[in-house]
Amino acid sequence: MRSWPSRPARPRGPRPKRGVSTVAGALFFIIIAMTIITGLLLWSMDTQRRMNDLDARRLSQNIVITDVSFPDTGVVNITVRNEGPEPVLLVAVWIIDKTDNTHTRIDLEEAYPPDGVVVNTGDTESFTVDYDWTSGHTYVVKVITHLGRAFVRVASP
Amino acid sequence: MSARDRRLARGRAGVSPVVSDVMITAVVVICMSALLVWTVSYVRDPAREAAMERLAFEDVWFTEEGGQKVVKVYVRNYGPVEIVVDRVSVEPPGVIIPDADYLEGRGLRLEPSGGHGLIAFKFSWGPGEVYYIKVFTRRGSRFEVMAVAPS
Repeated sequence: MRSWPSRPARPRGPRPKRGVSTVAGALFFIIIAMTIITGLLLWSMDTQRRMNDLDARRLSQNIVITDVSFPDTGVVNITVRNEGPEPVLLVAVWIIDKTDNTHTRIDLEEAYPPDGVVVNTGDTESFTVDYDWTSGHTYVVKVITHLGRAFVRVASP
Repeated sequence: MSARDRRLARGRAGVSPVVSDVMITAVVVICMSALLVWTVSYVRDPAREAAMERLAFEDVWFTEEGGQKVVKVYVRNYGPVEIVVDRVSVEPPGVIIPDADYLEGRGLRLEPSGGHGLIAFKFSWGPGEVYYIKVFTRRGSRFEVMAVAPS
């Protein structure tokens, strides 16, 4: 009977470390890649959520112009009520003279720095703007919120 | 094994670790570079930023200045990214306003969260007509408003 030579015994001592760095490197790479991809996905989802939130907030804004009066020459008094669920910043007023078709923009962020006219939920606010109105003309008064919504009322002095 | 073979074997003993190290380094550098390029392209994707553009029309009006009919559009950027106005079209007749007809606002740059400005252009509007005015941004977004010319 033929006998095979016995396999040489593995040398005693610590196991060889060849191949360990390859596995560790691959693991590190996978961890880094997964972290970056997960971060990007979370960032992307957060961005989408913020944009949806912005659109919802914009649509929920509800300002009612309760009164427009012309107390003195060159002055218009506007009263608004916030019927929406959160505070609103009024950033501009457009006064459109329907009689002679002129459009005038009054920047409320300049007139009432720094944010314009702030109207808290459920509150009524009155503010004045400088405008050289003419008796007998018809005006469309339009207030613009910081999210670009416009609310309109027609008035005549 | 002859003495010559033993010498050769001894000379190659350190080659394979060096080769594997070089290969691993190359693979890691290539993979990380690819990941970096993908990440940057993902973050700076114009389509992604275009989806974040928000533009509101504060006012649109039709006037006559110096015997020419003019349309004025006042816009407000309420989104989180800057908007650059690229061009405007009016429908009907469905024309893109040529560069020469802009009086103001061609390439208008609107800062995020509150930038506002005027776009004015010559356009032969008809009294009482309904127009759809479309503003196109440089990233390709389109914002539209309907306006009626005064009778």
